[in-house]
Amino acid sequence: MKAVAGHMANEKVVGWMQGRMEFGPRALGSRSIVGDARSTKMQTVMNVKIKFRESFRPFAPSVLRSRVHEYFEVREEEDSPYMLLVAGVRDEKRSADSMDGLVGLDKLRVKRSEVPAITHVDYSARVQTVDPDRHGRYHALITEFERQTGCPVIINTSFNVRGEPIVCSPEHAYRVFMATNMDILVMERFVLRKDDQPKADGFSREEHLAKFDLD
Amino acid sequence: MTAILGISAYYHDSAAALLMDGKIVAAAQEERFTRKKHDHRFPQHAIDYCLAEAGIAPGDLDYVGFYDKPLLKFERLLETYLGFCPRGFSSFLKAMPIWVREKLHLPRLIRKGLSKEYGRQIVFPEHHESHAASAFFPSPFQEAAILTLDGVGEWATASFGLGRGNRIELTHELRFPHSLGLLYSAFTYYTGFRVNSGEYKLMGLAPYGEPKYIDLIKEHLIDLKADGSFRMDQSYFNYCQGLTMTSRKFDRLFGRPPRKPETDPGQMDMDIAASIQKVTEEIVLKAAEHVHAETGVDNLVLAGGVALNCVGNGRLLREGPFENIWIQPAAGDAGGALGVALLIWHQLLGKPRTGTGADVQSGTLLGPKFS
Repeated sequence: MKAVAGHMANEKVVGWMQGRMEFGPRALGSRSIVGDARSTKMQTVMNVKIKFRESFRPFAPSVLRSRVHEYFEVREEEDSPYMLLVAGVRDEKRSADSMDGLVGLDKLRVKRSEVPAITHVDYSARVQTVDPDRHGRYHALITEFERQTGCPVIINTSFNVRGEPIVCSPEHAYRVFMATNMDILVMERFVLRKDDQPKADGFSREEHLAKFDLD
Repeated sequence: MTAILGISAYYHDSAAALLMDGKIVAAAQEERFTRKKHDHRFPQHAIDYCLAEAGIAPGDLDYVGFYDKPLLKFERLLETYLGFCPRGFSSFLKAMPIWVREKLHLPRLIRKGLSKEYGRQIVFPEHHESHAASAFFPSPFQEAAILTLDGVGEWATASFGLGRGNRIELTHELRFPHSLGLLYSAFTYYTGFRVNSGEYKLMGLAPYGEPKYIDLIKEHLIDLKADGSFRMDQSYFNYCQGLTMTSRKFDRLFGRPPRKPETDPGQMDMDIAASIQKVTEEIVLKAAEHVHAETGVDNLVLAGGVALNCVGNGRLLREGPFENIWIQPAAGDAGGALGVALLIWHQLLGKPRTGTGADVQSGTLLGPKFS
């Protein structure tokens, strides 16, 4: 856990597969790709190099429920475990950089807050709260990330590439890991580093992406 | 042990869910197994997984439910096509084979999918009842107003009512072709995204734009009433009779054809996205005000595809009349599988709910695990 959180803090992209798969359209920490929400480059890296999708698309945060109100405009301990609630990033977490005069995608270049990777251009975020009862090891990961960095917020996006259903099995997860620029793959208690993987044939990015129609 | 299987299929996002003595033991979408996004085929893999998770065979099932009424839906399609005849003929021809081949033979297909081991009856509630059940029964509330909003089921496109204890009752509905889900999908199509999956992108695009088309939408496309219900001027749309969502008249109103998919969205797409998002939020807020006034309770539960519009949900919680809101995480059609199973257990069999103060969706972590 320490090592994985450390990789995240070093702007590595981590594939995270734990426990039972989610029912419903959102990845909630069982089949997720996670990263450092404080990073200014992470939104572009994740969109373009991992998910191969449109650069305007925002990412959502997972945040420890006990600290959700410090970062977002919600009530104390507001429960949003299913990522179905959008709330503003609090004023004191927003950056002073102005978006005045910018239109369209130029707004993406402004560092919008302390957690720019999950702050949309209108300072909103699609919040998932994480608690120890529902989320076990995922809660432990964010707690460890918070211990190392002071920040209880991480990026959480679904474990797939554009047009692909969210991964179900370890085999699906490994294929996405090998076909993208993902750095680390965590499955249950196993941690795989991209640098250690054999450059086996049959994991071509083009081939993997070609299997799925664009959504 | 009473084993109940719920199934949704043949529209988008097929799924299965299994209850054992009322407890949700497994639920999964077919796409995760077949690797085909929004797979709408019969959810054979999801069913097999649910049965395996509980360690039972198809013959052990006590009840099986399907999430809507295929015959009533068929009647809507026929009536809609006849109403627009002969213009709707090409989409009629496209839709008919799957209806004749599969949907009208559902009971037989379901029995086949259960290895012909299941001989009891199959329950077919209405589409919005399944959504409503999926919103209320797993929620933490003993009493709540229920609001469902989606594209369309049989005839209803939105409904509301009240849930209390182990009963739900839907008392009002908005009917096809007037539909908030289809209105949003029409704009999804017009801005160059894919209907039934690009809605999320449209919502994500909205903050880049200015909502400068709100008046245009309200003046021409919809006639919005104070209670959140509305009528759509069908001359701007084409989903009743054609294979597209919007009509040429819609293009003329906004001054250009739909954006071509995979071209970069321009400022106009962003402004349109911002506008329809704001209009959607206004409709949801008005509907919620009305539902609150009619039911007089402080809890609200939501389901149906529009309930995945989390920007709207956030505003509803902050500005709306309800103290507490719970939303079914599988708010789209997949959740209908869970809804029909819960409907059988509580409404049909009259089994009580356990009031623990927390929801019983288990973090919606209801799928397979590998270790």
